[in-house]
Amino acid sequence: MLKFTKLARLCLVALLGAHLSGCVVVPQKRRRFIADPTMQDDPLEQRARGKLHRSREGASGGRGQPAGGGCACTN
Amino acid sequence: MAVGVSLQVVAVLAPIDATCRAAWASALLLFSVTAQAQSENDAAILGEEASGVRVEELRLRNNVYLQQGNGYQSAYGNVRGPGSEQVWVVEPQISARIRQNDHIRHDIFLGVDIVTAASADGIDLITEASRVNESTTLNAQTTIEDDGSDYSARYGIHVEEHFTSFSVGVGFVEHLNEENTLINASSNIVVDFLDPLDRRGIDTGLVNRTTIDVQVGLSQLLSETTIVDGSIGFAFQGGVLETTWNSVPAQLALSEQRGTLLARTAEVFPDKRLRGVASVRLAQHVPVTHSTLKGSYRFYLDDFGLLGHTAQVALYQYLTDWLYLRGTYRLHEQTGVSFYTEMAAPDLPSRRSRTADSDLAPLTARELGAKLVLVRPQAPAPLRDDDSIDLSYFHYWRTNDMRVHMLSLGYWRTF
Repeated sequence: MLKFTKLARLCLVALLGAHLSGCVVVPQKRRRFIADPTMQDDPLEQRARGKLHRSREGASGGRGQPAGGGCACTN
Repeated sequence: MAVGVSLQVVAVLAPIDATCRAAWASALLLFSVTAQAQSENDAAILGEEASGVRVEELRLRNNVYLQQGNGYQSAYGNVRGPGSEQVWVVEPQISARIRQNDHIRHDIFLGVDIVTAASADGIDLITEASRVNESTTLNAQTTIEDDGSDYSARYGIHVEEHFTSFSVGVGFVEHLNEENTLINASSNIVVDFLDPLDRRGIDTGLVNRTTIDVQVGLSQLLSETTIVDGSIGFAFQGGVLETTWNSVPAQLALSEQRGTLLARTAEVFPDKRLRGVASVRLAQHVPVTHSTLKGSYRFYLDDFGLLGHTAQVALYQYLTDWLYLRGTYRLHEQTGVSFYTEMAAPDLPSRRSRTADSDLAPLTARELGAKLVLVRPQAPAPLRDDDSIDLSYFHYWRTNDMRVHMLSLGYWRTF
C-alpha cells in the first residue's frame, strides 16, 4: 500500500507539473497523432471491462462512471 | 446548374473633404462575392450533403466470460463455505450515435447479459427459478452542442431477475483553447428496486436503494502527441444496500452444553454509503515507433472502510499501417470493508453489519489482456472501408480464488 501512496503522489505532481508548465495550444491541423485510433478509447470495450471490474471488486466508479447502483451487486 | 451569387457592398463615407470621401469610398468599397455552383458532376463525385436524422456511428460487441472460483457468500457447497462462483456470461452489445441536426446528437446503448448463475447467484439455489438469468440495459444520452459548450441529458433502465434500475443524469462539457482543454461535469441519480428475497427464499416486499453521484474532470492536450486527463467523483447511496439473498457463515450459540452450530446468517450492510474516486490518465503517441503508450491510476475510498488503488498500462503497436496490437496490464489492490468476515461470531447482534461477499474482501486483482485491431480506413485499397474489427482476450485473476477468462469481438463503422 505504501508504494501506491508514493505512486499516487508522483502521478499528481506529474499531472500538475505538466499542466502548469505552460500548456501549448495544438491547432486543429496538427492533431493527426491525437486523432490516431490508438489514442482513442472504445466505449463499448470500456463499458464491458468496467462492468467486469465493478462486479468483482468493491471499488467501483471513476472517469465519469457512477460509483454504485444499477446492478444487483453491492459493489 | 445552379448558381448562387451574393454580393455585398460596403461603402463607408469617411472624412469631410470630398476628394477624400471619394478616395475612401473607392478604397473601402468591398465586394464579397460568393458563388456556389453545384454541377451534376460534383454531386456525383462528392455525394449529396447529408441532412436530417442519420446514423453517424455504429458499434457492435459480443463478450463471453468464463468465471471460476469460490466465495464465502455463496451457499453452493458446504455450510462452512466457500461456495462455488462458477458462471458463464454471454454479453452482446450495440451502440449507435444518431445525429438529429448540426447541434443535437443521441447516443444509444443496448446490452444483454445471459448468465448461467446456478451457483454465484444465490437466488437460483433458493428458488430454483431458473439456471439461466437474463438482464437487459438500455441507456441513452442526448447532447446539445452549442458553440463550444455541450449540454447532455442521460436516461436509462436496467432489468434483471428480481431487480430493476432507473437512472437519469445531466452533463456539461466546456471546450476551451481551441478545444485543447475540455472541462466536464456530470451528475446522476440511480434508483434500484429489488425483491429482497432472503437466504431462505422468502420475499419480504419490494425495497429500494438510491445512488446520487457527481463528477468533474479535465482533459488537456499537452503536445501534438500527448493527452492527459483527470477526474474526481463522489457518490452517496442510501437504502437497502446489501444483497439480501447473500449469506454469511456463522457459529450460532446453542447452549453451554450444546455449544455452537455451524449455520448461515443474513448479510447486513449499513443503510448509507459515501464513496470518493480520483483518477488520472496519460496517453502518449510515439510517431517514430508508430506506437502509443497509456497509463492510468485510480484512487478509491469509502466509509465502509474500503480503500482501493488501481493502476493500468497499455501499449499499442502498429504491425502495419492498418493493423495494431495492444497489450494491457492492470493491477488492483483493495482493503476489505470493515465488516467483512468469513465466520460471524456467535454473539453477533442480528443487525450488526456483516458480509462474506468475496468482492468486498481484502484482495489483489490482476489482469492481462491482448487485442488485435484491423483499422480498415487506413488499409490499402482492396481492404479499405469505413469500419474496424477487433478481437481481444483478457485473463483476470484475484488472490481470493477467482479467475475470469474474457473473449471479446468488436465491430465499429462510421457513416
